[in-house]
Amino acid sequence: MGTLSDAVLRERARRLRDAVEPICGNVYFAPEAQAGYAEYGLSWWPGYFGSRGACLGRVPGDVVASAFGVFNPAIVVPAVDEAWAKAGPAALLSARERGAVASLTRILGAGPSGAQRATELLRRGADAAGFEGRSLFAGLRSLGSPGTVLGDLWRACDLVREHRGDTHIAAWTAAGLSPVEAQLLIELWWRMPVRVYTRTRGWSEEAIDEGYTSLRHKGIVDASNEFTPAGVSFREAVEWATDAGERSVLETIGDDFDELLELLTPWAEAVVAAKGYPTDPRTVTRI
Amino acid sequence: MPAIASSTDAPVARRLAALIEPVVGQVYFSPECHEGYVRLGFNPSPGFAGGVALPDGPAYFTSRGSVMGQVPGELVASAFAVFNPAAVVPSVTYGWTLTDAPTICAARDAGAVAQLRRLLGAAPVGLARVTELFARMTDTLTPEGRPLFAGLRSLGVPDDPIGAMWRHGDLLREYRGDSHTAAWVAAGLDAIEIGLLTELFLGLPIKSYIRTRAWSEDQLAAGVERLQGRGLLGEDERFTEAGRALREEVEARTDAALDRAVAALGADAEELFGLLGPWGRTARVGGGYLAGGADDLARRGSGMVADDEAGAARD
Repeated sequence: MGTLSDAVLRERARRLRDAVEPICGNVYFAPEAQAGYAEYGLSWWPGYFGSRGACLGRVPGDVVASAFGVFNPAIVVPAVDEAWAKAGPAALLSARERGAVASLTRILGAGPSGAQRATELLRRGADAAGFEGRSLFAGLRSLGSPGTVLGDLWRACDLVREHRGDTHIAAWTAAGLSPVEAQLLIELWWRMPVRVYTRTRGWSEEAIDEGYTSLRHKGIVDASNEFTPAGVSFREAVEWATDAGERSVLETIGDDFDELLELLTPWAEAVVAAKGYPTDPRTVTRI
Repeated sequence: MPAIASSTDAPVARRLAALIEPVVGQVYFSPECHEGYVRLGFNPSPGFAGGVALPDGPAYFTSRGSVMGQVPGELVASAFAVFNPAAVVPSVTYGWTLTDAPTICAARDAGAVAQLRRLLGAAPVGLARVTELFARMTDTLTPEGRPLFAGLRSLGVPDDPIGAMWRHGDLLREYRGDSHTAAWVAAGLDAIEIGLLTELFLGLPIKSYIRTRAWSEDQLAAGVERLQGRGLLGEDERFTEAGRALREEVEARTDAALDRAVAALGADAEELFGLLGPWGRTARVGGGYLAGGADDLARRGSGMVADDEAGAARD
């Protein structure tokens, strides 16, 4: 076994998930980033798919859909086509980075105390992790560091986030879930209003109904589309498989984990307080 | 492939993978492909294994990676999954100094079709039917978490009848490969660990075939130690019961990812297998694909990079 017990790994992996999320995910809610995409004439979806997918290179929309996992390719492909036609990956990578750094600077100041130490610890974990099966993480690793205190912190958080996200896609696809099923289970798992989040991923009412039907046949949800006890265990197993995929990251951070969380947590809280991220993940996720 | 058997006892998905492999995977040993890449500035085939021309490393990584577009080497490493990124990334970076994605992707298509036409003839028996049955299966598959399949899907289907069959076959091969990667990642394994477990699964000596994936002795030794620490390998470097069960579960999950495709194929499976079998034998006899598969490369030892094996397991 590695240096962390399963129980400690599980707890740390989820605490790290919740701490990095508002800091790197802020870019998706930052007016500065949206303004950058708008300069190329890109609205929300082309800006989102293009800017987040740009680390993969000038790939076809299907490859972006494969990497993002839960979106309907029918909304991804035209958005990526538009993003490449109007801006291209290099321009969008640059706009994304500028937007993220400008927004975090507004919220946290240009050089929050301990940012370099947090970056060092996150990068220690991220740089030790392999690329296997992890598209967005690999794409981000192909980029250099922004070279500013906040830029480097943001990149380090994004690397850790996308590594887990990539692992999570492997976990739910290997568990035999479709994107709609995976998304519906996220709603239940996070106790969100049903169907709403899944609709934002481009799925029709009909596709959602088919997803529920399939989940009922598998015994994961009951007749009222709530988790069965077996369904809760199933979903927990998917989350645990995701945690287990972060073992190398967490073991490399090692005994410095608590120090890292003490640094990240106030920044994550400040981003949420400034409405730079919609909710504190700790209030919706399950440890 | 030998160990991932095409015996009639194996699940349909596994038999399908084994029978598709020589017909589709011949692209990596096609002299016509190698010549096409040489015209772009790559090195020629570095040599033969059992009369089969092995691929140049940079040409292999760049050509197969090009189905995803002009992507960074890191993405190729993540999608191919089992190779040492230290070998993949510089190979792809170098490849993009010689050519671009549409050009090498076209050379790949052309060389694959040319070898099939040379070996099977211009109108192989059952071509239209095989293409129809392949397409019925690929129509059921979706790209989530499957980068090589997604890239291939975006290319569309060639007009050439052999090219159309080949594209659908490659879609099925890469879909299984991508699903396989997800299965072992979800099982908490890394690239070296799955490579070592697969050697034992295929009945190969440990630390033999995996050398073609460019890992160092130290990296392999550390991988063996991790697997022993997890109770998946014994002190004798053989499977423990848990190790064998985990490796079989990874393969079963990979098979399960093909459930929709297998259901679409339905009662026509035996007809399809009956058509594919002779093509694969012809491809092997003609030197278009390794006679034995992974074990040919395992015997050849370290230092070169080539594509596998079983469609079932590209680790």
